[in-house]
Amino acid sequence: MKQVKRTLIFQDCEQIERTVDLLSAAEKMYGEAPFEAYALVIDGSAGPDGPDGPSEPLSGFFDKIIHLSRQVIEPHDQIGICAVLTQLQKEYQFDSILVPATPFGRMIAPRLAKRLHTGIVADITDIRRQDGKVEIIRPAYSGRLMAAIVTRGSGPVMMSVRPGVFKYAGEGGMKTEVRKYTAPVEARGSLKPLAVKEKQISYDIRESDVLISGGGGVLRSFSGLQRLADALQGRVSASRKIVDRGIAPRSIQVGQSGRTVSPRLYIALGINGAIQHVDGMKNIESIISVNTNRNAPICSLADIVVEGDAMEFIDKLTDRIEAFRSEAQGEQQ
Amino acid sequence: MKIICVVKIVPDVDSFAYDYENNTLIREHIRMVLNPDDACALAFALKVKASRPDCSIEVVTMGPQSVRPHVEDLLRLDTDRGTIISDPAYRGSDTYVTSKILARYLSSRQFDVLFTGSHALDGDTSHVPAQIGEELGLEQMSGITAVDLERFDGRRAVFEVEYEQLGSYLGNGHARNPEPGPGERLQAALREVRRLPEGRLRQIDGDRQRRARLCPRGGRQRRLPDRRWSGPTHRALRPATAA
Repeated sequence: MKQVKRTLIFQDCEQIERTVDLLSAAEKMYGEAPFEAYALVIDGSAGPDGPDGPSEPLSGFFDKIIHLSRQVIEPHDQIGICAVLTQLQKEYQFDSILVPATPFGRMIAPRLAKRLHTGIVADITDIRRQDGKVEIIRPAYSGRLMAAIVTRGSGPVMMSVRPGVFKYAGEGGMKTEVRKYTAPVEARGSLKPLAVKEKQISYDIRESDVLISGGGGVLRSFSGLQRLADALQGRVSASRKIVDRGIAPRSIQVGQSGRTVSPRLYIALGINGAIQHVDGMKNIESIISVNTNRNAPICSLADIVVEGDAMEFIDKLTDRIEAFRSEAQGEQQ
Repeated sequence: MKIICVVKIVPDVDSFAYDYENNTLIREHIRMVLNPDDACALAFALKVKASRPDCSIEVVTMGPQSVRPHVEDLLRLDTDRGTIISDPAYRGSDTYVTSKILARYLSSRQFDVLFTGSHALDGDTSHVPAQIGEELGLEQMSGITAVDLERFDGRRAVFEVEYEQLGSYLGNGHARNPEPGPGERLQAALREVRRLPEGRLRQIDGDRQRRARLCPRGGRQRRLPDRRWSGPTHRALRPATAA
């Protein structure tokens, strides 16, 4: 019987650089015990003529990378990918399989769990160890409840992990073996992507270091946030109140039903800070809250609380930044 | 064309209650609603039916007896058949078992397409649609935002998916958009009182499913789980009280 635990991390070709973060989830699950980390990489982002595929950023973090090239499988073929994963499970007998909870990951993972006759925990946000038992935490019922899930049974432990919640701090530097998967794929699906359209908002709020976030307090002047975002070279994000009114698209929503963000600076303008919103704020270095109500829940989390009108704050701060910039430029000359 | 909509009647988030002793959601004596995403799916099915005279819609749900009035309401719309799969033994089923029970019934039916919502308001695992797909050997797609009606028939479907989006647009049931979503339109349509058509509602329990010896595609008979699935178990953490 093998002693060392073995985990497989599935990489969604949409978020390559985040795959490493799932190692942190595996670490939390196994505690101090060493484990072997495998990654399944699907060559989706690199074109047919591109470099050796997107496994490069993962090199050094995993014991083994299994590389599935575009020639072997289409990156969105759920039937084919499940067939490959089933084959790999037979071969390596993984103890756990972690899938990022991206829209595609959340279609693949339950299908695979069914095929492997094991249970699966969806969209997890934390893992705890208590008395040697592993508890997997996920929000349920629109965030009203956090559920702790204990796995039993013999199958591999499977979970889909909410993107952006875990952060892996390891340095890498491991010796990584790369295997190209060339075995024939048992079954293939028939779904074909016909066309891909870019969305209007091209930025991803999860990648921004500075977020200027607006809530119910700036309903009428939400577009004014852009000025401060430009001055700080940040991005604008929003709470659900703004998104539900159709003022901003869902893709820039922070919170449980939106995105989980980890910027260095988060400026919350007129945001009350309901638990569902705070749920989307993870590992933020500094939070500044501007609110007319100093008792708003978000103010208890903030490093700096400004009591007052958000728009006035934007005007004054932007003016100061611009004045400071032009002064600094003047000194240089 | 035969469409089957698999729907779920869920507790309204604003009035949900949890039984911490037995670790199940309390589904009695609280306000229940048709899951908003499933309402979108059904609304689209009704749209398809409106444009084709040969189309029929069956609504399938699994739940306690108390969901009956909700399914009756759906039959007052332009749906042709309603099926409730209900058995005390199914209470607290996880997604593995739920999809097995639903797929077992579905495999006895003829259909061209299955519609479900992407997310459910209560559990929000999004597992059941994919797992029904796996059980029946069908491909499945979540998060569909538009379907091309011109190119939609029993053999093909052309649709749009928003990959960026986390959760479905109407997934929270509180969308207050300038234009009402399909879910809201459905609710509005429900308000027109219609007579309940007779003989269109069927109820199936575990014994009947077992007796029926339903044969899925491929001819191999599948056994319905006798016991609860022994996979993950869960307990709810009590909501943190404000410090």
